[in-house]
Amino acid sequence: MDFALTDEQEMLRATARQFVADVCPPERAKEWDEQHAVPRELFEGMAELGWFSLPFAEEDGGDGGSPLELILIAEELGRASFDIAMCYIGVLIPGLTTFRWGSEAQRVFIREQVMTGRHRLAVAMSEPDTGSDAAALRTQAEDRGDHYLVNGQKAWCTGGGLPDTTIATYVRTGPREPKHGGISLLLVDPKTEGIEIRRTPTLARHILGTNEVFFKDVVVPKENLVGPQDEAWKVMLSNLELEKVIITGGYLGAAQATLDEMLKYSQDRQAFGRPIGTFQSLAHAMADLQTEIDSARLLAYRAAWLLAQGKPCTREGSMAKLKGSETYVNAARLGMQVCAGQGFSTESVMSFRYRESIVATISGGTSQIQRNGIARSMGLRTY
Amino acid sequence: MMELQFGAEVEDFRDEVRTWLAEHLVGEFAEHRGVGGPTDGEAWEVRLAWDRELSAGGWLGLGWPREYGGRGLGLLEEIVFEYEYARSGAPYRATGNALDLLGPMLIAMGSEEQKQRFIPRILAVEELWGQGFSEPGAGSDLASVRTRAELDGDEWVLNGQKVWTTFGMQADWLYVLCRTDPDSTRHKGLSMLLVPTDQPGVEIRPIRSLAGQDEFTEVFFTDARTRADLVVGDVGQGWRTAMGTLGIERGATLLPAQLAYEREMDALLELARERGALTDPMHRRSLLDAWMSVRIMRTTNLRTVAELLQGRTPGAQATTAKLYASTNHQRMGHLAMQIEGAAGQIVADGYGLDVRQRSLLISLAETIYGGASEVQRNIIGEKVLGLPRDPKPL
Repeated sequence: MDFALTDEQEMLRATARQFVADVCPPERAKEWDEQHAVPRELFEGMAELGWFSLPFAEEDGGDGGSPLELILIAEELGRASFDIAMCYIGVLIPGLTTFRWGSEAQRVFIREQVMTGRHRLAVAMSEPDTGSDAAALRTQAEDRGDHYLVNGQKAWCTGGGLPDTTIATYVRTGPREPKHGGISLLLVDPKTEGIEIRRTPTLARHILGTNEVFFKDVVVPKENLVGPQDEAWKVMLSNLELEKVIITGGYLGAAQATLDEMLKYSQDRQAFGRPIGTFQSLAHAMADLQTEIDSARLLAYRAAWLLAQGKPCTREGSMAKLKGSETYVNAARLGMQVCAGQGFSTESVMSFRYRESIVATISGGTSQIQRNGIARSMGLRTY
Repeated sequence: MMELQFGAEVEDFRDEVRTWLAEHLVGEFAEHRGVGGPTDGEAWEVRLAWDRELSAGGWLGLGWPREYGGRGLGLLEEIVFEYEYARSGAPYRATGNALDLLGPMLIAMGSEEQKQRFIPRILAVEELWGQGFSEPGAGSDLASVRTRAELDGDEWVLNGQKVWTTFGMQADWLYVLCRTDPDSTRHKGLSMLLVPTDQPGVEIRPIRSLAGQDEFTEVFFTDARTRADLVVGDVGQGWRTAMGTLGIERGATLLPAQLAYEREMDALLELARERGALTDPMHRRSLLDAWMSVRIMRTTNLRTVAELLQGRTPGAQATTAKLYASTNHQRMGHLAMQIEGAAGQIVADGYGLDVRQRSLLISLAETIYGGASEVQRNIIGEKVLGLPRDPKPL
């Protein structure tokens, strides 16, 4: 076994670390979050570095980057903030999915617009009544010959309110039986008549922002269908593992930065005549946390390796996501305790970290859903 | 909340409390059921009006001596009142700091003149109080306070900075732990001064907290003044006075807050039912743990009360109660967010938090103030278990 990164990967990591230091250090990410800002320099910078085309094959205009390289980027961006990491991951995944299943025209669009950072994609899957049970979605797309007529409502469409964004919308085009059938993926221009986007005010993650999207008699041309009609469940699943693994990279970066920040504070802050970090109760808690972060990191790297080999990694991806998100939440909670009053003030980065962390075990597949998947892989069907 | 039998001798009193609350907890007050907490400034004006309503009804300072305007009742009546109060869901009392901390401290250690001067105005909700203990360099290590006070004729002159003063923006007076002997270190040479806030030398600034409120404040003293006789206890004995207050903060004041957790628990079960979370085995387990924890809090409190009523020194459970309650309340908040799922992330415009969100975010401070969990564990280790003191690093 070889745990070393290649020289190229080390260089990529160093570049990403420098990018965060220059463009989006945690204090700036916090400001963007508080101001609900859309940081052009962030998206443009990531595009200039070629990150939006990195995982695509060289013949498709990419660099043939592996899942591990995507994790490395997500990890470094996550050190700024998890939301910053999602500014990358949230655009990358629907681009990869569309390219894989899309028509030639759609591939050209991805290559010329999305891979270059000129345009973004945002996913609309969840609905007010369907979160973890995604296949129960009800937004209807009626076949009207040369177009679909879409009616319904989406929730938690993250990034869907940003400019220059197309919404990759999962809709029902066929019957509900079998459960995962009858679903299709459409690329929808949010400026189309009949669409209303409402920003959802949330506790955190205000940079990318999340939205409700209302569809009322929205005309979507047939050529905007991605992949086969009624078979979008497998379209969605095709990048699910990769998404879980890269997201875990974001959790890891955020957790590690949270630990680094509390560690620094515990070394500087004096009480009872010594740095508080020298009290065993805090030192051991932080030692445990570093062990947890490394465990999550190894799970994520293993899943990335399996993906790169073209091997199945449903179980390993779920383990990485579960461990990564839970560790991130624990890190933020410990950070609040170590930084104490300083952390409780909104002037601190730690308060921002904590706000961001709360939803980690819920979004991108809840911890319960991950455990179901892992149990199923062990022959234990829980429902 | 469960019905509790406190015995025949207090049945009439309980009925009196119940009847009064039923008649007075109406209108705007009833609309604010369950609102507020020891460090939660939500609906401040309504709660202040409610405190005045309580004052008019003679329900503040139940156990305080009659000569200062209290009711002179016993501990059992106080407990019955708190229990019925929590049961009714009445808003958390805005004047909690003076009623729960400063008042008992004055009654125990204040001069006769101080009692005459301050206690009736606390009971009339005419003067609000804030605590000036923590400093930027003195939190858990409170003995490191550096705020100085020097005598200048018949006045103390204060210079320094305090932090985390709860409801400082509303306070008319502060009780401030200061170093009055400039050559002293640690626990010696400290005094507890009572300082009016309405003067040029006192500047109070809000700290915006994670819970989106400004109930915590920083206090800056620049040649602030107070009368020489406004020292609680003896000059140089401020540590003893402060520890007496912290003992109260870690003990008696837990009761109303913890009884309020029972209401939170009921609401959490209701939420779990609505969200279909009762079929999730992990949520079921966590809900059971949470339910048991609030029952244990109640049992622990009642045990302490029973021991006090029997004139016995409370057992080890009184020392573990703060750590247990704060950590379990925090867990309960996280569980609520898990059960609520993504919807728990939605806030109203302008970072408007709902009751559950606010409760979770405020609970993060509960393991820090009034003695951080780490300090509590040291106290339990050393005082209850008789373990050696926390070792110094080699």
